[in-house]
Amino acid sequence: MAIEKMTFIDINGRVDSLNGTLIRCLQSGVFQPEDASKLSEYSIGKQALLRNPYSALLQRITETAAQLNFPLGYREFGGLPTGNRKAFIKESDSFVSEMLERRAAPEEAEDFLQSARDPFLQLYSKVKLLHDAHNLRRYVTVKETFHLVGFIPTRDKEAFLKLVGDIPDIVVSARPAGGDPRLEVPVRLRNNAFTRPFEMFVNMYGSPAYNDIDPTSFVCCTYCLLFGMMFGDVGQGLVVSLLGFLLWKLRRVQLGQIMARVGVVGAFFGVLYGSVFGFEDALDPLYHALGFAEKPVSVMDSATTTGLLLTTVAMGVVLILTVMLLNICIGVKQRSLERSLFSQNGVAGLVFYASVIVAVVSMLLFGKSLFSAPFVLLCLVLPLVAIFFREPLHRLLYLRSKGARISSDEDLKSSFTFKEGGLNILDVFSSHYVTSRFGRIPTDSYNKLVFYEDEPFVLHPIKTDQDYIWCLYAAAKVHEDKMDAIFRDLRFERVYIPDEFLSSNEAAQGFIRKCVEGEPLPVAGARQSKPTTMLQYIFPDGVGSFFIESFFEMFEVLLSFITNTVSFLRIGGFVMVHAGLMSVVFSISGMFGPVGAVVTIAVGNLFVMGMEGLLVGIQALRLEFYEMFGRFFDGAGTRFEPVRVNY
Amino acid sequence: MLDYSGNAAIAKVRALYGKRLKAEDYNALLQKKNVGEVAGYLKNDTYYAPALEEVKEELIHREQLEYLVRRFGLDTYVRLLKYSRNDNLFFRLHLMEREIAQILLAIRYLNAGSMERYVISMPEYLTDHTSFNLYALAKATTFDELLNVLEPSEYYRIVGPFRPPDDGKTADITGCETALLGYSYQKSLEIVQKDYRGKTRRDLTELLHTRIDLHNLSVIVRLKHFFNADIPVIRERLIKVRGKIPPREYGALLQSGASASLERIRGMVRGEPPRFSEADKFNWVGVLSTTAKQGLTLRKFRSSQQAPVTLLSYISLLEIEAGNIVNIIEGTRYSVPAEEIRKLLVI
Repeated sequence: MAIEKMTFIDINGRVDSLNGTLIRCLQSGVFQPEDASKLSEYSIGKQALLRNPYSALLQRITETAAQLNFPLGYREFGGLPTGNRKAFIKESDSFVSEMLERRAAPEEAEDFLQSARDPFLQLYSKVKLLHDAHNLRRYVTVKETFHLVGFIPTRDKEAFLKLVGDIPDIVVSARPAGGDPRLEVPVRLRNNAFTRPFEMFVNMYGSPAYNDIDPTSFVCCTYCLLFGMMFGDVGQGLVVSLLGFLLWKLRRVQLGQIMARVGVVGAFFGVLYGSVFGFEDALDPLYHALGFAEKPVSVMDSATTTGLLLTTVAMGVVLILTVMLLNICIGVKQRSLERSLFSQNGVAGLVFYASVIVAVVSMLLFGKSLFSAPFVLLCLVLPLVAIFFREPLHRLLYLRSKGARISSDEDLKSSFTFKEGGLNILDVFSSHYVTSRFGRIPTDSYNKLVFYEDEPFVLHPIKTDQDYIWCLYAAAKVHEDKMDAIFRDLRFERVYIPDEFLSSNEAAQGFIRKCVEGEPLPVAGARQSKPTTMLQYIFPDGVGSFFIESFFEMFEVLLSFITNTVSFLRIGGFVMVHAGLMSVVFSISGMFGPVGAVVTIAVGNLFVMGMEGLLVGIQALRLEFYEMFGRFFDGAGTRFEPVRVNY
Repeated sequence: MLDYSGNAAIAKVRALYGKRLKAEDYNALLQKKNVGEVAGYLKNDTYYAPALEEVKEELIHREQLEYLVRRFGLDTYVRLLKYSRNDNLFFRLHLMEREIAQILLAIRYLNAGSMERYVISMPEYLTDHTSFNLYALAKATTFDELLNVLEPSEYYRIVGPFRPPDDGKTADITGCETALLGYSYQKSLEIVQKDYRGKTRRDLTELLHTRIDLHNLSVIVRLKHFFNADIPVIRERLIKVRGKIPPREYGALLQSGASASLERIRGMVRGEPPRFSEADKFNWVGVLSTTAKQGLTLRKFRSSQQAPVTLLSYISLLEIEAGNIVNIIEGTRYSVPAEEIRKLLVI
């Protein structure tokens, strides 16, 4: 199971080369662009999108094609126009007009249209490419040079670099994707021919993220197993498989590929159940030849029922434990302690669930109770406590110490978090006699201010981060240059407050808040408090609220363990339903003569295949999505969709 | 008894080394158009991310970025010290070099009469680690006050003799530098002899000897080529601690021109040494010297199974990497063409 490796492409170059670059990216068919303005170092540029000059021409061409009854499609068109764009558009427009005029003269129309078809379609292909390439400008930022970023599959890297390599005055940088957290890497799944059809089910739920795992192979194995178990019949399984094969071959129905596979597994289980088109004794000679007294699994035998149901529950337990292990692996891969350790699908949940199962099995099978105090405390209570407190534990582990520096500095202590109304910004910035600057100073430089105690400035810390302190300094205007020089040397990063935010103190405060916390401008009346103590940080919604919510969540967690486990009983149920339905068919067939019986059995088989197949397929998918995916698969990724010209 | 801490150190250092900047990272950095873009790349695509987490690409100052890169190196070194059974050597060598650099910087500013500028340059992150008070050093306005600050440290008796006479002359900065560096290498070699045995001792000694020889050879090249200095003057500026090159050979090199010493450095480079034009080959003596140092250090790092050697080698490699990044930052800031910046890099 694999997620295809992606490469991040970063193209930078002269604006003159932008068009050529966009065309090449489009022609490559493997490039998915990303909005370059998401990267703050490129966002200082404006986006390059202008009104598309080819839109009107393209529309005329497609309308003309409809009138002339030319089915649109790709034609090799040789080179792209190298001269003036307006001249090319004008020339093309004239050509299209001529097409319509000549068509109007019936005596010439036939020959003319015959000869003009190819040039017309070549023109269409050319203009469509230019038009679509121009639209890609919405991803580009431009400031002196342009920046275009995106992703390509790593296996196509050499070919892509070769393709864009001949564009002059651009620099293409290619590096492994996934390093930059600001961009979500799109995902393309890479599976072998046998498991690939099951990507349809995975994508139905959601695309895996780039740092996730591809569950397709897991789905293939489990879905085939579940379907096969519930649809165990040799004849019906082979018919479903054949039908699926034909659906794919003749109609390219994707579900057909899945049917072709699950049908074979169904046939295998049919061998175990000894059922061929509902005939429960058809394989008895085979069993006797192999040395068995009877079929391995006799579904209709009441003695088998309990064993069958328990087997399905056991299978459910194994599957649930497996997906929990998968979730832990994903948590480790993503370096998420909460996910891998403290969640109900992490180590805590695994220990709890496995312990309960082991204790129950021990009691039922061996009559031995494992519920001693150490067992209960370590294997049941402790994991439940970890699950209960998973979010506070997670916050505690990732809380960064601000260090003694803040605790010893009263100003910084009070500035630990931004406080509304702490300072009248407007008074400070609108004074004629005072120079004021807002920005942030590195913490290391802040400590050096002790050397400037005698200098005439005032510093007001606003918010303290680990490495920087957002602050405001002010000095008398006569000392402006000197103070600016000092703070420049101390690497003060100045942020200019636009004039429109200096109309009122609230506006200025709002702008400053946006800077220091990256939040949108505050809504009037909205609660803006931020955590100021450790307890508030760990329990941001309040301790009481946390306990109430978590208490009910724990109910849901414990209930889900039970329901998810018991849910697998349906497999046993459907095994028996399948056999039961065929039994009914045979009962009905017994009411007719030989011909009627054959017809009844045939129709009955078709009916059971259809209805049972549909039901079983849906139930298996339900088990996949709800009982399994829900425990490890987020499906929060984005699919890789490279830009291509759709002719 | 198995040295679990040593094995842990080697594993940790090798894991960190795997995250180093590679050729493609340098290529990407050389394409950046301004300091913000360089900061963005380091912050989002390299293992410098934690050190640059709060950096805002659109606001970052060049010096602040360099500062954070260098601080990352020190923080890494301090973290790795936990794995070392004997942090004496590493404390001595790594921190001593930094302490010496600060003392020399302060003396330069004193000589220039602009000691207030030292405050700006002083790396605040060192204050918790130095053996003297950096803040007090920043407040010194005379050489005597500087000596008072150094008094609790071992540097006092080294720097003391270089106190300028009261007639207003400036302190002999180059003499002071030679004395301090010689002292640091001497101390380091003594510790190696005392605390280590066998191959570990041999490897550590080789690393230190190489540093001494490269320093001395670089001094000979620079003083001969750029200053036409006499042999006695050059001899005064050489670290007196013996390296791998015997005194006899130094004598011969001093008698020869600058090219002989440059070729001697080139001979210490493993593999293909960087080529420079004949006209300005002496301008690149620093790059050549660092390349030679890197080659030996890398060989020791890769082949050694002793934690002290691995740790010392890694710290050197980290310093070289930090130097490369600073060159890129400065080159980008002053719009130096990428190919010119590339010549300064030791990859």
